Amino acid sequence: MTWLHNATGLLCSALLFAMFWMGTLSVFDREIDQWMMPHTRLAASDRSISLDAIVRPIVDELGPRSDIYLYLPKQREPSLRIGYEDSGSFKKRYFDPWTGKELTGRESLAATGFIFPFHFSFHIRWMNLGYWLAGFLSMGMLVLLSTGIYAHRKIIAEFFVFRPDKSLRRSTLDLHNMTSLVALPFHFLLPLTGLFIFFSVYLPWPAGILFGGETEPLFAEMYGSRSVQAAGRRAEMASLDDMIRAAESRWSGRTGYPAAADIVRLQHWGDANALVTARRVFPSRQVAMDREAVTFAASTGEVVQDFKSLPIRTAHAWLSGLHFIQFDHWMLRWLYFGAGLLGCVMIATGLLFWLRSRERGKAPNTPGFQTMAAMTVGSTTGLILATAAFLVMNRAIPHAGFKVLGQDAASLEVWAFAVVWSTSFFHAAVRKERAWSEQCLAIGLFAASAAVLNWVTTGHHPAAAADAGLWAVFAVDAMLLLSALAAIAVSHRLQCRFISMLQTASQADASPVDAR
Amino acid sequence: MEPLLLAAATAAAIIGCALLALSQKRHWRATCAAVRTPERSRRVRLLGTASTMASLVFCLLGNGLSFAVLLWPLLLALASILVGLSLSIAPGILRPLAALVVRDRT
Amino acid sequence: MRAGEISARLILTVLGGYVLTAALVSASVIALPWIGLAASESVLLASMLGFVFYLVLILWGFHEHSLLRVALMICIPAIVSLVFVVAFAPHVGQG
Repeated sequence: MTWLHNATGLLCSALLFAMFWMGTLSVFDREIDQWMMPHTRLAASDRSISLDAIVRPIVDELGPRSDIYLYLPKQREPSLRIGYEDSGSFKKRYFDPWTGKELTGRESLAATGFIFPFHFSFHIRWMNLGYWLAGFLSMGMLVLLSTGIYAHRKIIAEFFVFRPDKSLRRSTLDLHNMTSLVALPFHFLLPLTGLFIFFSVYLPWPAGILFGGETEPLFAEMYGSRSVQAAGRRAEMASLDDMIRAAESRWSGRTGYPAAADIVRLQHWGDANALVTARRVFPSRQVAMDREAVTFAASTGEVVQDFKSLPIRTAHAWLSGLHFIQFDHWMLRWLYFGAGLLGCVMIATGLLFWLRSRERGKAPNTPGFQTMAAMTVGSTTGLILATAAFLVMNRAIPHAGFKVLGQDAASLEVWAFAVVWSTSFFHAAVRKERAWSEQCLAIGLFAASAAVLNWVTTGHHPAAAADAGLWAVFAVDAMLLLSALAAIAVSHRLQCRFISMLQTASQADASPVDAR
Repeated sequence: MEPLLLAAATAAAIIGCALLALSQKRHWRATCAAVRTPERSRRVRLLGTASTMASLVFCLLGNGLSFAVLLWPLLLALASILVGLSLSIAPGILRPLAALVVRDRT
Repeated sequence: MRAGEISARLILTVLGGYVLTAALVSASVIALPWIGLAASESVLLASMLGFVFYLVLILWGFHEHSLLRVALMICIPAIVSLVFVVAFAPHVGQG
């Protein structure tokens, strides 16, 4: 079992760290979005918006489309977002929800477009390979946790033990054990629920068997989704506000508190057969997600379907919601963030422990060891550094429409990430033991620069952001500055340790007689 | 999400984890002046368990079952990390708690 | 463990185990509606349990001493399930 733990760990840890890191950041993806796209920085407000007054003009202008999605404003996403397919790609546009004015500015993939998809698919969309990789790694994580527990069966005794004063090898193992044990349910449930969320990718055949290859009837029963063909003739559309209010009053009647729609799907808007589906995909006071949907015939405003999920789907919805954490609960959200960071420490210390165990003797000179050592640095501090570079590049090019070699600003951010990440591996291979300290220092400098650049380009330094009610911006800046301090402190500590290691080594060389 | 209940749940979790840690031989020696007898350590463990259960009750009262199921284990994780780090870096922090709970009746 | 045995266990548990899991889930999806469960509910229940089953299978595959036993316990149920699926798949043709 220990063998299986080590083998799986060596194979999976680097990419698992990436999944955990990107997943942890995704907890605050909406906040990072606002930081990276200053034109969407609106103060949150409780005032309800009128869809007929604000959205109708925009949607009527878009012309006949099979699907238009309205993402209504929420506490964490104060702007109105409208999404639709346009020449092969999915377009997202942001609007001020009270004036209807489009918020244009610096385009960016930001957190919801880059960081979050990285977490579950590594941006490899060809034949769903990215999803399969994520699934494989998730199973690997579950195997690692199970074999890890088995290897440390006397867990109760070791639960609170962390001895930083002992040998580096011992204290690394202590930290690895502690970070994995204290949040074990979290570390286990997140990969498992991740697999549950994408079950139709990993186990596609059941749907095919039951409905002859058609997933539509299956998803209609599961999610209440409806499909419709355009009639080809135009019709007058009923009031969107009335439809949404009708849906919300139905839900509020069942829950006992005001329930709000968050995603509205307009199918063939403007057509006689048009449908409007209002959903509560991410309810604010429930863990379970996307259990209810009300579908209206858009031309008459009548309810065509009032969908409520079946029991097992409800359980699946609860488990999925446990993973997505889009509900309103700030303490829980920060706890998830903290637990995610613990997971990152768990994975990193696992790799470090493996390296430390093989540091004595001939091992450090083998290419296998050196590769793993460079991989460890690159996939941990290197990845964090690349993320910082992503943010710096975002603020370093503040203007929309900026292009270099045909690459727009959003692509340049991704390039910055890719270049810095790849370079970090080479840096680690060349600088060896010193790479840790140097990359930590770089992280500190990049993180601090990102916060400073935000101030310079938007004027929203932390105090100004707090003043304007832009808590998302304040929080991201605060985290950047805290991380910078921590990274620089760690870098300094590692540097001191490296120097003292060199000194003891040179003393041993200089006076071989005394050293005995 | 009443803030008071949340604070109480957090405090109860921290105290509970601290007591559970203290009941173990290694940590008792680091924080407690009194002699560790099986009876005393059992009592400390019982108090620790009771405190963590109280934390669960506060979670349920403030958040309902659905959220409490997520909140409580994560609060315990936070508490465990804080207690674990305290014990390794500055065990003195937990001495007052140990003194409060274990009275040396020699 | 020798390299040959490691490879054999890996292929059996990871690949063979996946085939077995997919086959069992598919068979369950056909069988569960027979006891009254709706189609979408069967798909979800079988899929979710399938992931847990797969994990346990991988752990068992490396814990069990006899390689032959692992091979038999994976291959035979997989073949039986696949036969079941082919035999009883509802022929609902919709295109």
